[in-house]
Amino acid sequence: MAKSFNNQANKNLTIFVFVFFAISLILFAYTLYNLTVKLTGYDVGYVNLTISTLVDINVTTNTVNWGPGVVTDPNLNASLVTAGSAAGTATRGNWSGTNAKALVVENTGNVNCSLAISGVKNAATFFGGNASHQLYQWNVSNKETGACGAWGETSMQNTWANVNTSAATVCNKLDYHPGNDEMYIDFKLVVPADATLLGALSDTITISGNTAV
Amino acid sequence: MKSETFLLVLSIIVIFFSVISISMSFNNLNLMQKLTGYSTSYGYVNLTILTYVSINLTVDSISWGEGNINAGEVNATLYTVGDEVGVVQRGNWSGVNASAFVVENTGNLNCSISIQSGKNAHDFFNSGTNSNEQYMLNVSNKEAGSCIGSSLGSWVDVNKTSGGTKFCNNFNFRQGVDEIYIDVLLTVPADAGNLDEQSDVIIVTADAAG
Repeated sequence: MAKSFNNQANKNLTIFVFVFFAISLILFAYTLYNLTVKLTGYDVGYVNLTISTLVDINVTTNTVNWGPGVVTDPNLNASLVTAGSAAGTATRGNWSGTNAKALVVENTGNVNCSLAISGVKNAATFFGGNASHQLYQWNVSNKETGACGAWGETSMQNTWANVNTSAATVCNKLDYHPGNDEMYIDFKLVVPADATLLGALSDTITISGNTAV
Repeated sequence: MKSETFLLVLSIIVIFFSVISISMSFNNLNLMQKLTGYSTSYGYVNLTILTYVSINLTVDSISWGEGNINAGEVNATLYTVGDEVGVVQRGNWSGVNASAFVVENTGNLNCSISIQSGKNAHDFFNSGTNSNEQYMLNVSNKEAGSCIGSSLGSWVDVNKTSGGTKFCNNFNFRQGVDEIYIDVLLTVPADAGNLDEQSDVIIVTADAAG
């Protein structure tokens, strides 16, 4: 009785394996056909390719460098301001604006993307000294008209706002088409005459591109 | 037993073809590439604030003009009092243009202040009896808390040796607390050997070393 049951089970298993084997062979053959035969076809030809979507940004001007300088006496502070691609302007101080131009961010991918920015420092951690005579601010604007098609956080859109140490999405849709894909990030530094942090000072701005929302 | 072995082999073949088929389909769909979509770049903001020691004598001249010791006196005393008109005792000089030197720390560091004169009292007046002659300085804060020093507010003989006398160990650079007075006292002897116009140059030296 038990032997008869085992034989029947083996038969069922054999049939099941054969069926599964046949389906696998058919799928395998179909896949091979799609990948090879269609390209060498006899009556219909297909050319297939996939263009991957790519989010990629490039900071084409990635350093704002004011070099060395001092607050000229008897001023309480000096103001250092970038203005897009023009040389930066230093007032009440003797820094040079030659190498102080706005950061330029370009969408080098092939899809619109969002843009988020953050700094590491604020004015107090940048300079120390009298809080009423110091600023560290940024201003985000289109370098190419219409580059940002949907603004996000607008507090620094074409206006000066304190640098934020947490990421703020300033643009929800940065265009990727050449000629229409670049933005400025300008910076304003107000250096207090009584700065307690002296010597070489710097901050790093993190700029992230993500799939457009 | 033979059929079980056959089934095992067949199963392995099926799994093999299935794995190949799945991987080819997966690759064909290019799923991995389609899932990418994030990019991060960095920008940098740099500047250097130079450290520098700088002082400025915003009042750099004391002029008593012409005068004499009153008759019968062995000397006259002339001394400045901050921004006020200078004081003349037992003489007729004018204190109108005799207010204290004012030194401001215009740098961006605290510093020390030392004062060296070009002459001492005898060099200045050359008293015949080597008496009744004085040439002294008094350093005080014009703005409270500008300077810290043990001789602050006291008259001290000038020092013409190199380096002079250190009056401040920690002269502040912050606006509103960065100015000191240097008052000057002259006692003119009646038997001065040096007559007519007399002058001296004092050197005020600031040093970051403290």
